Amino acid sequence: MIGRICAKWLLLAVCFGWIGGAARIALAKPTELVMWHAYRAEERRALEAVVEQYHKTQQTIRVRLLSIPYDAYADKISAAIPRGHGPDLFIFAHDRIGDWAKNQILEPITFWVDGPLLSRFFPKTVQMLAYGNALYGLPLAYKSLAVFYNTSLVKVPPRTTAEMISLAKSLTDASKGRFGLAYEATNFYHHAAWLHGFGGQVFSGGKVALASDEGIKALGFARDLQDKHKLLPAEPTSQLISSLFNGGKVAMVLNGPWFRGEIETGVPYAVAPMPIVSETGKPAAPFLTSEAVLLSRRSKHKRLAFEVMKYLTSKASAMVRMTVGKQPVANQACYATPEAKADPILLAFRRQLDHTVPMENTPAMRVVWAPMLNALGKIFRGQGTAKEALDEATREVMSLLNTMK
Amino acid sequence: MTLVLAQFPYAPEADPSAQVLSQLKVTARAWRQAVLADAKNEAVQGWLLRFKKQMPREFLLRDAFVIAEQAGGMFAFLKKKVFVAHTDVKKVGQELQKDSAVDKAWFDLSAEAEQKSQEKPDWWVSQTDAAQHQVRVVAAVREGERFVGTIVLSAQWQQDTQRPQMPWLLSWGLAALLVGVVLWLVRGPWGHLAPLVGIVAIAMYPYVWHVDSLQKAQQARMDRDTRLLSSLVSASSVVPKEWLTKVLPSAQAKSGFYTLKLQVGQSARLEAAKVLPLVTVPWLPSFWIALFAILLYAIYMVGWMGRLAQTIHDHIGAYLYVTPAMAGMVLLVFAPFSVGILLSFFRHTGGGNYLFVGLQNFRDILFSQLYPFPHPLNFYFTLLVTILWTVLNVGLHVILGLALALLLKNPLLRMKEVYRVLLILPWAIPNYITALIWKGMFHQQFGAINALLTSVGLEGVSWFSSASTAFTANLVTNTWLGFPFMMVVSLGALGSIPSDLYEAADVDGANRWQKFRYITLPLLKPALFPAIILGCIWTFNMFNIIYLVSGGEPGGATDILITEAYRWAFQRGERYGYAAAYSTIIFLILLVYSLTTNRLTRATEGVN
Repeated sequence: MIGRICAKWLLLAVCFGWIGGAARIALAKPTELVMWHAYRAEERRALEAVVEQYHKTQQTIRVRLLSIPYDAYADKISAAIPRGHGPDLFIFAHDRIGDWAKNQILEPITFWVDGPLLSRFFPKTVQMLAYGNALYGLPLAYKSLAVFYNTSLVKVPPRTTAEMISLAKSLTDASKGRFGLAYEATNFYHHAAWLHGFGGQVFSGGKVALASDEGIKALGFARDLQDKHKLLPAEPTSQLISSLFNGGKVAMVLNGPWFRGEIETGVPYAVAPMPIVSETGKPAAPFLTSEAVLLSRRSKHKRLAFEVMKYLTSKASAMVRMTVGKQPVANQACYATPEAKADPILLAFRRQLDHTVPMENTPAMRVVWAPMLNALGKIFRGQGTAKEALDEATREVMSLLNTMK
Repeated sequence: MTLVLAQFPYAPEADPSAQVLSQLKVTARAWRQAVLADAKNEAVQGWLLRFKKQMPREFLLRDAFVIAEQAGGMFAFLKKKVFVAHTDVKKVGQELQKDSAVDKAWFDLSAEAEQKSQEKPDWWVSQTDAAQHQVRVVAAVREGERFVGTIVLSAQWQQDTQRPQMPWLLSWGLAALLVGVVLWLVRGPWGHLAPLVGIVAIAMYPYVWHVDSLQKAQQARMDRDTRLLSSLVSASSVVPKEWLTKVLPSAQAKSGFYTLKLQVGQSARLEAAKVLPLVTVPWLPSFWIALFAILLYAIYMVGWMGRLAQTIHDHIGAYLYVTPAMAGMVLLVFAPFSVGILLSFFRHTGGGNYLFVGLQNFRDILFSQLYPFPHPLNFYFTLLVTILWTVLNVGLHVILGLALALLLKNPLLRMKEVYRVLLILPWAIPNYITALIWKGMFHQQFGAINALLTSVGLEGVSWFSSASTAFTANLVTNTWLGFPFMMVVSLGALGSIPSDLYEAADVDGANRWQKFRYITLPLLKPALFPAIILGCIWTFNMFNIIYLVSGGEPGGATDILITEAYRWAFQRGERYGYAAAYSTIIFLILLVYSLTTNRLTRATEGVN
């Protein structure tokens, strides 16, 4: 009898213990954070590996990755976050930060950030993520143009533009479809390298400075590449350039780290920093973009999300992104490792970083692209002078800026 | 997304918080002195206590504190912030806690204050939550160039009842119905107006509702302002007299500020309007109202409601079959369409916020000062290009299609089926693939067309450099895509022409041209005419070809209306309202076009 009562009590105790245990497990359920990204191929694999790694280090946070096609990415963010459907965290280039900060899409992280955390990064790459007096993200990687060259055609990469032109000339034979140099000439992102190399700027003292003397010279220089020296293939789109480079038909290409994924195996190539502009003695400085992990204003777990941001930018994570994802990571410590030293292409982008101009993250900058595309298109079609084209672009930028007010 | 209707002659900026503001101004100055003098925080605290005591009874003080800054870190924006004074005594002297979400919000607010104080006066309303009846006022403390700290006050005020007025909906709905019924009874050519009036009435509803509640709220606030003013005067014994004289005149002016503020200017007014959620119309209700209006219109179009009900009852089976398709139409066609039209009266101000601007978008498009006529971005230029594009395309489609159909009809031709399949192929391939193939063929250096030209001894053309060649490239591509349809239509119609007509013509001694002119063409007309009308509408809105082949090059000169609308929405600064107005204009043009052609067909049918 007593035994049976005891057994009952025991059973009860076990039951309660089990329920309690289950409840504890239920209570300790990790918080799930959603992160959007537009990575593909290697970069995506690297990010997934990093998240996997993060899940092993702690139990409280689970990051769910969602891959979004790049074309619709920014619009999706702009539309989803204000309605509360968006992610907690997302990865994007810094150029939209101004817009998104103004429209309350991004949460400033200034509050949590401190000096030691920021000293992880190349100062340039973090400063670009600030808008007004607040910081909006932590940098994962930086991207800029550099010179990709086919090593079977070019032995020593050119150090100056004069060298580049003479070298490219010797390698150009348009009738056989061979070219010395190719880049998306009508894209202002690419042209900006020359603009800065000639000492020009997009904005100066709060004004549109596209039509400065330097700007006109830079545009003249770019036109000469096509008209006078005849180095460039006509109507260069990114697909055309990668197919030419893969076919060994073009010796040098100005492109960013993403181009690595487009080069077929078997094409011998290397990367060098942009040449020095012979006319001014300054290096041609391409735009620098900083790819950052950003925090949504509507996230319900901001504090936890910041922990994820910290982990994603830590050395442990950056090493995976660098070795697996081939990203030029923004974490400084990575470049002292043997893995980094074994990757000359990465080091070339690292050297290029010192001679880049951070692209502004203001809404005003975003207005510049379309008018400059027009202006560059005109010049490369041989319509009008550089000054006329730039004056018109300036007017158009101003009128677009006015409509934004 | 919220739609802001901001065309009201009053300044929401100066709403219920006006009272707190004027008090804060006094306190902020005194606090500022105290903070600057660094009087061991006691003076700062003292001011807080006094302020608490003197808060008007209408307001419930929730939080008030001063945040001061310590030295910056590696980056200028990394500064430590400390509570110098706080309504919660425990927090005084403490650094803001990294784990506290509340403290983070204060920190961000202080950062915002620092930012804003560079351009704005030293205090502003940071948040007015009408639903919660809360107001938060922030003051930045500056010593010359140096930013010293932030003063934050947040308070709740007593509630006015501003419920949405259901009777309004009813009365407007009834009025619309009445007008509709009268017009329907009158019938005649104005019969169509009935549902339109209904739609306008219902679409006006959110606007009217808000005007009404706003007027009431405004009146209530004016009343309260006078009430509060008197309470301030009596309560301000602690406030130094010299401040009081400075504050009062401006505070008094506030009872009349609703008109005063009008002079501040457009931008100030619009910006201020964003602060106040009272004037925002929730997007979803407007959407449903628009949807409802469209449905109502559909119902009217079918006929009288009772008759409709009867018909539904009689043919319930048929309606059940149609319901899925109808639901699809409503969801996929009518809903976006009505949203588009609604959007054309708004301006996108960024981040999914819209401002009601009335007809301004249409005015900007039709009477643009910015882009005079020959400019490629001018509306009339684009319209001209579009019309040219449509006429040339449809002309070529018909001529080519008809010619090929006549050839295929030839009884002596062998392997007709093979030719027919081959000729229909361009139509069967998705048109963007065809467009991209043609784009590649038109490339200056590597394209097949220039290769062909040079092999014949001609010079290659840079197709996308000038407007005429780029237009030609588009035209060739679309002709390639368009003729099979016309061919198929003609083939079908040709088959239905009885052969005895031709035999009779042969007996009469008619030649081939006469047979074509007097027998084939007139008998083809009933089949070709709708095809041409349809073809015109398709070509008019042929987005893919223009976007993929010439891409509007050079400089937008080959853009047609629909691609232009797309560019305004997605490539030139997210001007969604402007783009919606563009689409609405396109719709109107096509509407007029189909109405006139409808009438024309009816006329020709009558003659025949």
